[in-house]
Amino acid sequence: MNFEIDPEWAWREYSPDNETPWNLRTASHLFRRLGFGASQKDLDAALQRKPSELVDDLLNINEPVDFQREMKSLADSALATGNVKQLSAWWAYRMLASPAQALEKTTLFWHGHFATSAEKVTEGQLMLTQNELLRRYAFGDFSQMLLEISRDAAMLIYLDSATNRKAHPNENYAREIMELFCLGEGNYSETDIRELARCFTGWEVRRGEFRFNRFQHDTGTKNILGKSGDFGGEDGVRIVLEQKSAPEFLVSKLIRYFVMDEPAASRELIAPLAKEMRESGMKIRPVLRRILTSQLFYSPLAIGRKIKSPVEMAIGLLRSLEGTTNSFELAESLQQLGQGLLYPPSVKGWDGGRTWINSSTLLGRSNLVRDLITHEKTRFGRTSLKQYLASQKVTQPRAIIDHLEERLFAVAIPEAAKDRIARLMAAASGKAIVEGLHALCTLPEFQIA
Amino acid sequence: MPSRSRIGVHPLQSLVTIAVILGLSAGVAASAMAQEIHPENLLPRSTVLYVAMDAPPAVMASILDHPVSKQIQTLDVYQKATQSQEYRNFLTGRKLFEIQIGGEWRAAIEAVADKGLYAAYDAETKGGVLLVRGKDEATMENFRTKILELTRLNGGDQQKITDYKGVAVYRLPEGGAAVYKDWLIVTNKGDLGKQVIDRIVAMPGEKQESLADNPIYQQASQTRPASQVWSFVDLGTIRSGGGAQKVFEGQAENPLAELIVGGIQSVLQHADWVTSDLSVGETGLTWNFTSPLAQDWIPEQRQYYFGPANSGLAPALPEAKDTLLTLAAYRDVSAMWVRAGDLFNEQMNDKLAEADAGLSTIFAGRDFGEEILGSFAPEIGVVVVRQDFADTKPTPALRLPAFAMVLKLKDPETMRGELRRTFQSAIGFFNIVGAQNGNPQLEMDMQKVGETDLITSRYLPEKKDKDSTTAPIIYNFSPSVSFTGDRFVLASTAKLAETLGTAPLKEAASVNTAVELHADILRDALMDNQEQLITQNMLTEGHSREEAEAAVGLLLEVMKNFKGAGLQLKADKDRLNLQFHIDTNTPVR
Repeated sequence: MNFEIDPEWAWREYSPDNETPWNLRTASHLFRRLGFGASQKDLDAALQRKPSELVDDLLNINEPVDFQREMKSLADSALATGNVKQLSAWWAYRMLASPAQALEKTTLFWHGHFATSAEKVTEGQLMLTQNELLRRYAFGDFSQMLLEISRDAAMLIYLDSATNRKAHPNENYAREIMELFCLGEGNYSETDIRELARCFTGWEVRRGEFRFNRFQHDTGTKNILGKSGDFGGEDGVRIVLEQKSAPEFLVSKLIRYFVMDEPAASRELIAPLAKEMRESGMKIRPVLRRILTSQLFYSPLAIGRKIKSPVEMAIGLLRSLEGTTNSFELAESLQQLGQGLLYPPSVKGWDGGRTWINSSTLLGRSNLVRDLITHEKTRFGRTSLKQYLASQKVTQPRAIIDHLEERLFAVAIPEAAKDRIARLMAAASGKAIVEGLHALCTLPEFQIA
Repeated sequence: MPSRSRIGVHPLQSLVTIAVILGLSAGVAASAMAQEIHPENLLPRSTVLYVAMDAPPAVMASILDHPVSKQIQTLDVYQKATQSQEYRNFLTGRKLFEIQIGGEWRAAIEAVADKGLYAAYDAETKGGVLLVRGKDEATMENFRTKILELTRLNGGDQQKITDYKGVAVYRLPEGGAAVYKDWLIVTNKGDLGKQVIDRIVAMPGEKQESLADNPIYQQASQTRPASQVWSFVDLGTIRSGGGAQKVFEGQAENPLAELIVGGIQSVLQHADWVTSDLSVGETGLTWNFTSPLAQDWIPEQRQYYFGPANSGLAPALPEAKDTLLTLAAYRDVSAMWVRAGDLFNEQMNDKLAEADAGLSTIFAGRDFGEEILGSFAPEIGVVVVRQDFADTKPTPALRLPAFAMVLKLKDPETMRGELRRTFQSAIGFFNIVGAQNGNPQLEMDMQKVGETDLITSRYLPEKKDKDSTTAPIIYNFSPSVSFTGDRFVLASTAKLAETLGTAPLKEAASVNTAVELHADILRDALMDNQEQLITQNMLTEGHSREEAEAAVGLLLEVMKNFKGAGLQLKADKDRLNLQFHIDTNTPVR
């Protein structure tokens, strides 16, 4: 179904009213989209703030220096073994532990946008460097991020641009910067790709670091997207970013990731935000703020209109219940479900949306949840699920279901399903509660964010 | 029969059973003559497995009261195990038991099994039997009374009690249980139980054949030392009965497994018995296995294992500071390699033939099995030491121990040049592969230290790694070799090649194989990697740093109590002995 959303209504700041109150459900929605989920403590604090104040808090929170140092040390240790899979586990741990979950969620967005896989870039340090770059610019200046990613060793290796010589310009990166990173299909020609590739000649990777080899750079005149000159790589990046379609393309991707999988945002809906992004100098945070404080974001057009990715599902389940687990096995399970951290399937990243769900992945998602909640290393609030829920003052099956519904579900659970699961949990033993949680997490409603 | 749900614990049912027997057997005591009963006199001659613990309270005290046990109980892994539903059920049952008997479980068990605990398996009846000897009849009577009450409370079924030769027998779903004086008998086969009762109530002069009359047992028991737990296995009967086929098959089908246990397998194919004795004390644990040995039991293709006339001895090894592990063994690997056709299956021989062709090429066309391996004496040594990076840069983030193989050259003059050239070729090969993978290059050097010729190689650090203290794992290695007389050392680091090339040999034990692990050095090596251990703990356990630090700290603290562990395999003229030992530091009380 295709219908028009009025941009003026959509981007007007959300003001809670009787129809769309600021309550547990809307606060949980914000945490699910701009993070992975919220604990009871987070939600209690959130309800004391205005929605716009909370968005500002989430977008501006800085990771404490101690946490950053801790994560750096953890990453270095993970890399010491030379096994990149350890880095995947490290990121899963970081997602679970970070006090700045909006930053992690947005870093995951950029990882899917500038998709680079450790399957090909086997050196963990390069993947870590790229990951840190994405986190550094997650809310920052997209122009600067694009320039740095264009010189990022992992990206250049992944796109076979580690050696780019004037005699044989490699078109891979030039193609992807236009098609996947900035402009989208239909906004450039094959000639533009060839000419842009000439700008990047001489850009190399030596011993894991970017190097400009002036002897291999094509110093001739290039004609790109209507501009002509002796352009270098930096010029090429600038020219691409100057295109009108650049902010439109980025805004459409941000809306899809943070607001709704379907319908695709219309040009009219995108236009005001694209204009703002251009005027802000391609800054990301202001656009995100506008999106996350909008009427559209808190409307039925957004709530429950996305399908949880495996990472959102698993990390969200744990974070909402203050869970911790074996990060290696979690990372491995995510990979089996098609969303291996640092292992995107192609340069296009993850398709997302409905592609997350089919008969095979539904079974896989159910198994992942079961493995997670029954794993001997999994703890909730550093204790068992039963004790954790008891600490939240919920002990009876129906109360437990209602408690979990508010935190884990974007849409209401049908009464019949609640009754069935309450019977399953009738014994109220530790095992029965775990079975009940698993049953809840296999409901179609749980797959939606 | 009491339902499990009423009691909640399985072990309690056994105790109830024991109690009933205790109670109903009291009257039988008067009819028996006062005489000393040895458990081997109660068991059938066809017993193939017998385990004897003469003083269970002492064993319990050695284990449960040792400071290490108490520390282990604070470890994460132990704590997690105690959170399982099964363990909680066990604790509930134990508490019920304690309430009923009005005392602590350990004291009760120490009294009931004060004079011994014995287990056996009989080949003829295919049954197992447990014999428990209490402190005295009064103790058992007291215990009986209390447990009987528990039985009654749980609906014990008096109909299950029958009489056999004046002894009350409580029938179990399989087999039964009975008591006589201070003896408790529990079996899963009625016929076996009857045989034991026949012997226990026999009047003097009513001689019945028993395990003690089995000449194989008599021979084996001659080796019995003073130990806390002793066991006997009648291998001949098990073998002829077709049991444990895999153990007696005789082929390992894997060169490494063959090198480790090949000779032992040949012995097990012929030996009539094997015994083991376990001693647990304040300063550790020793576990010995002994079997007979005859020279003609070792087939020609396995002569490589024990040597001519089973006389092969492990070599003396050079001493090195911070030695973590040593392995010294007599193994004629060349002889094993050339007799591979008789030792391994077809697939393994195909793989070995492929390896032989490749290795012969590396060694300039010389036959790898006969000429290269054959140029080494059969004595093999492996030394693992903790690396000291105090004066070394770059320092790897993950600090691995260095390791080396110490071999003896039969013809040093000829082989020195051959091995030197091969080592140089290997380093060249590593450099080519390393360059393809973007790894740093190895730089070679040659030097003479006293009588030792050293050929070393070191990774040239990249600029960014030069002063790093978190360098890649590759900087743990500087592959090197050394030649000192007939001593050849192939080491993972230049320093170890030099150390082992120049160090004097320490005295060797007269054994076929010796492995020694030094726990204090292992602890130091783990402490070198404490950050790594903490990281792994955080990622695998989901712990916070504080929790991970505490868990790792505790593990290292527990390790302080251990001195080391080891293994020795000794082949005498007519005996094969395998000994494991774990040494703890003398506890501070």
